[in-house]
Amino acid sequence: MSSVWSGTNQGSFTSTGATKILQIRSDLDYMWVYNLTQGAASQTTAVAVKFYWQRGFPAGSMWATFKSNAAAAANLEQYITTGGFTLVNNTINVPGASVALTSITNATPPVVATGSTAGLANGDTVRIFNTVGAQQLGGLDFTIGAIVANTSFTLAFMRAIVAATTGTFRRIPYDPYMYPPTRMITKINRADNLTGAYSASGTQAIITLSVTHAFTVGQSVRFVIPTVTSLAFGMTELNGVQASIVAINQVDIDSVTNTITVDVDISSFTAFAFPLTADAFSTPPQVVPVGEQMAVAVYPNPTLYPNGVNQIGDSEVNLGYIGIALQGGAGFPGGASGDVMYWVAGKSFSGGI
Amino acid sequence: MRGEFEEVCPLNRLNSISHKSNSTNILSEVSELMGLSMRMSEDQLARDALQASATQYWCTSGQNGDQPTNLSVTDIGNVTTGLLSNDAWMIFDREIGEDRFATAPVRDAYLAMGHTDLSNDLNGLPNFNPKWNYPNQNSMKLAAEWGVVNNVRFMLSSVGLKRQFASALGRTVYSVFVQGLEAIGCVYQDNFSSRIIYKGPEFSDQLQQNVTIGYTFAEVTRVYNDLWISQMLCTLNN
Repeated sequence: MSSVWSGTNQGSFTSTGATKILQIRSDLDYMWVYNLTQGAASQTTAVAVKFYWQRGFPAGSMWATFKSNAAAAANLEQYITTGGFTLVNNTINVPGASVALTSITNATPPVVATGSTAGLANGDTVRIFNTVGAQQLGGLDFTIGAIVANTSFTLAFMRAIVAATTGTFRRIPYDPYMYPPTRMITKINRADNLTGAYSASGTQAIITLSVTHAFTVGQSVRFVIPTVTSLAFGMTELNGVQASIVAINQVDIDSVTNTITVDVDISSFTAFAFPLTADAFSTPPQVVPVGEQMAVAVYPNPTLYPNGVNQIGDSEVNLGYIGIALQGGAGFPGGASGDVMYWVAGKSFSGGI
Repeated sequence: MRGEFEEVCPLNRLNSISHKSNSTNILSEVSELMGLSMRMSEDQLARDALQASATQYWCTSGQNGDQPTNLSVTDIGNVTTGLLSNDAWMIFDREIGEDRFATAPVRDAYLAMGHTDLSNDLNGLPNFNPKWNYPNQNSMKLAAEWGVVNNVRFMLSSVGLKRQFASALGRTVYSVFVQGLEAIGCVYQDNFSSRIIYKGPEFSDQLQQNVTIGYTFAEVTRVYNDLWISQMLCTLNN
């Protein structure tokens, strides 16, 4: 009944030093990766230059061939259980393991202290749970910023909160694979009409989002701003309002750039404020994508967007994929920054794990 | 498929010979399974599209102390009020009460789609009326329907949306999509919705031992009006 496809895909890339994800729709059963840059260079200490993976290997493992001297003798091979290959399917929503956090500071952005940052990278998403204090963050997702290994990470786009003590977090290694997704709001401030960046005297609204967004200029969005207390979330005037995005990723009040700027005059609105830990919980404030404002998409701000913008930015797109993640860095299959990597991925006719 | 052939002709290990005489029944069965697979894929894609872009409402009036809480009549009422205020039309007509034991009339209702894990919590809600207590059992009921709470009729499925470790206390969070008429729709692309593809062995394999069968569809689920659908997030009451 099934269609059997066997064959290979191949390609190359120049490493950025970060983990490289290759989307391979035909799936793969085995893979070779060659580091041409390091393979051609003289090495003083052994470094892996050729990598192999086969279905059935544990996640993150690899068979590595090392180059150890100027004579280019590949004289060492080793099976390594970390830093290698990991199959990826971004439509599977399985959070990472629960990790203890010991505090969340009142800094801007808040700093989360933890004894383990294993598996975290700048730009990842985490979800906060069970905090003593800062319960208003419970169950919410945040993109993380600066990481101090096994010490702390920041909630990159969050405003300052009253400090909290213990709790847990999980890495969330996925995003809704259907574009466009809703996003949660962390800040709303006034923005300059021309630049779209934060300005205390501006009349437009710049909205900061808790997780890295992918909205585009011209998209039409609606705001959900629930009322929790007399102060939070505040800005009730914006609740239910539909607006057009006129700029993205301009700096906000804290110099954060995960933002959208919309054509709503909020100069007379009440201030936006996150609730406190003791406040009753409610639906979080959201930006919901609802369509496209063609007038803005066709004629965007010429200063900010002289080359125009995507006029079908609201299109629903299935971003689901399967593939494999190559761990980045020297001696890993994703390579160090600047390394030229070649790869071959194959699908076997028969056999299995 | 190969196993089927060998079962039919146990002495013949090459399916190319037995294929032509036995293909009809097998193809019918396979086509039926493919159709089921295709419809389930459509459902899951639609579900995930709604997860991404439908407005969220977090239940707050349940008693389990989590955020979101378990389902409550108050939360269902809040969502209903929101849809009504946005002029969303109800999908189901009322069912007038009849003189039958243990039955009750059913109001006009919005449609809610959720996970089967929620069945027990729904059973325990005040005002819950299971579909078996609707007044008229002769009218068609959807197999997935579980019952009605005030103006919302609940359809449950084992592939309903749930997300592990997503509440403030680390519980599984369920999405219940409550919607009015024409809140969502399906856009067909390339002028077709779906098709089953079959290529016989003479076109699939040089030795004519294998056939090709599959399906393709080019369609996408979209929220037509975000004001007419609400993604009600809840946890379980235990």
